[in-house]
Amino acid sequence: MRKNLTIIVIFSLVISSGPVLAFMSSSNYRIQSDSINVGGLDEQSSANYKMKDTIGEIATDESQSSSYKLKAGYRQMEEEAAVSISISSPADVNMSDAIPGITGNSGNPRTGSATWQVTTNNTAGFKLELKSSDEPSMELDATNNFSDYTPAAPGTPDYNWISPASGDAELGFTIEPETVADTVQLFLNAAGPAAPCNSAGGIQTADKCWYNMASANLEVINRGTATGAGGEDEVVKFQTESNAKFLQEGNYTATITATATTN
Amino acid sequence: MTFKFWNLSLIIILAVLFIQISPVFAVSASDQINVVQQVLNCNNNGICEPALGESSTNCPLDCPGPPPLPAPGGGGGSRDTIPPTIYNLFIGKITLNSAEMSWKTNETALCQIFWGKTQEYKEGSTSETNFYLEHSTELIGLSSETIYHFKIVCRDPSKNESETTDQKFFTLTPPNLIPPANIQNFEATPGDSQIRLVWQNPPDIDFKGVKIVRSENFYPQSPWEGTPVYNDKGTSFLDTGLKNNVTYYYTAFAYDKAGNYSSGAVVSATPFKGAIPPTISPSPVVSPPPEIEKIKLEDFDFYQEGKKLFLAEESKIKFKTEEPLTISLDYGKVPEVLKTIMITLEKQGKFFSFLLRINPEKTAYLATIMPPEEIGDYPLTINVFDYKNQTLKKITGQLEVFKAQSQIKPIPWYQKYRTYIYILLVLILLLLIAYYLKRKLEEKNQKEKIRK
Repeated sequence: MRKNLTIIVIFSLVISSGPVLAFMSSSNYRIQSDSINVGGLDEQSSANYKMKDTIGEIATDESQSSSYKLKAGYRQMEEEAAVSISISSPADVNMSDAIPGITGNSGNPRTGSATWQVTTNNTAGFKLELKSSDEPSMELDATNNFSDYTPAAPGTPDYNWISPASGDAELGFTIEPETVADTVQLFLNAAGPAAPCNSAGGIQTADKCWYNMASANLEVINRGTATGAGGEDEVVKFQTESNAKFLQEGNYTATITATATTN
Repeated sequence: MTFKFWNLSLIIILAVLFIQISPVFAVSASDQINVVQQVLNCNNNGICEPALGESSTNCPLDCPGPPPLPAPGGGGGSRDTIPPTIYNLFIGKITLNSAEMSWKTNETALCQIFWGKTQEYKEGSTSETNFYLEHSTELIGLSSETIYHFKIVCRDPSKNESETTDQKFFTLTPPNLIPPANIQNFEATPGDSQIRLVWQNPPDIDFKGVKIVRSENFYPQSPWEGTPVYNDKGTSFLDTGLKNNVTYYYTAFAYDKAGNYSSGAVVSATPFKGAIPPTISPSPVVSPPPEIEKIKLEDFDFYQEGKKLFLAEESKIKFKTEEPLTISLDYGKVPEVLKTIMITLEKQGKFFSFLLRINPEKTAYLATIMPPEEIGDYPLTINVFDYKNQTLKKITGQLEVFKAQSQIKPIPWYQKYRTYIYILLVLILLLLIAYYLKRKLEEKNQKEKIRK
């Protein structure tokens, strides 16, 4: 029994002397919050009441200064513990103007944009991925389509939109996060005129860094903190241009899926 | 073994009791939208092309009736491989900065035009948006007085392409709007019923003539006021048949080949009979309105060779002889009811006056005069008259005329004696040759003596 007591004491010491982390995680799990205490129950209820309690914590309660707010104790954290994420459902995008199916619209791309509002209380933020349902993304039928945008350097967005080659029609996109710091490197360009995209430590520039849609998810935004209650408005801009590719008349459609996932 | 089992059990129990964890799994949310691009197949070229998707529904201009039936057998002909022919290229109206051009193609074609100052056509390009048989375009934003090269590239619906050879046009030269300088030393000598006028014409290379107009009221303000008395390129004129003891006012306007008139040089005289000329009372001086009262010499701008001259001292302007001098007063500085601004130079006891006339843009009162040829100081008077020819303001100043320093380099001293130096060098050379020959002769004689 003495040995058992020794083990209990050592175990308690090991746990209590552990480092204080914002959260603990592995590749499969993340512990959003933890607490050391001696007891309590999550579900105690009667016909009229429901109770959750924790016994044995020290110095719990809410306190705050002008700069910080401290919620000490397991139950204080509980209201924050349930991670949630939501994404809005914007309307379908109708591109700015019709394209003449015979002559095309070379040098005058059509534009359109969708804004997804992502809201999460996840302290580690979220990532937004885009994919299209088909390749090529924008089709009328099996034979009539817009190719996906072809960047000059494969895998790297073009700083400026480049008109498709003669006889081609293309759909491309770029992004404009509400918080520019959330832009993934692929859509950042080095400072300066005509700076290359996919630049580490670069800047986010409106209407620059054009890339192609694909049927595999592509991460376009990554935020490291929770959003506010109003969420983050993440804008995805599309452009279409035909350089005299013969396109059968009709409505060409690209189905785009945006997925917001907590980090 | 029992001990180990108990230890493990205790650890699990403690972990459950002591640690309350709330694991978080990655959660996600998705949304799907459609991005829709409408494509219309109508090129409005006046030809119904069902093969391109045109129908009476989507292209009523090209296909007014019901859509034509497909050809029997549905075979379709051979593919067009012949490029369009570009013909009847016509460069129409050319202006200072634009050019219109039109051309035709033997089949419907979509054309592009490229232009530039060289055959690289770097200045610009424009493209049609539909297929046409007759084409036209206007190039704008061109530079004046410039040769432009251009070429036209046309493509038919089957993407067969043809282009013209290099073509050229020349944009217009801007019109000459600069009037000549006023005539100089315009003098009037009255006699019995006559006045003799003499002057010197301005040195402008496009000078064409002088038109002199006369009035008995005041100096004519434009070449179309008063009575024309002279229109030629001479330097003197005798105006006869005049009434004695009546003052005649003359304004002489020099004009160039482009029809620009100078601001006007003015002179007045009163013919008389006998030896004593009549006394002429000066024009009355009245109190000016405040806008006129505050005008100073500093309000006038003086330009020579395109550069603004500044007052060297108070009321003194320094400028070069032999170069035209332009005097300007901002239009907004004087009220519109003002009639005349006259500038008078005094040279060797004589007075030479010039009008400042409003420019066509109505931005300034201007006069361009040739400065006196002789170096020195010349008193200057600017008179402002109202519509009743009453003097409102008299401003005085001084013009200092200096000779432009010529950029002649001093002749180096050796250039002066160049001929003498050459002669000296030739003499020295001859002496050296003579000395050398003498030595050779002496050596020869000595050798002969030794041999003997």
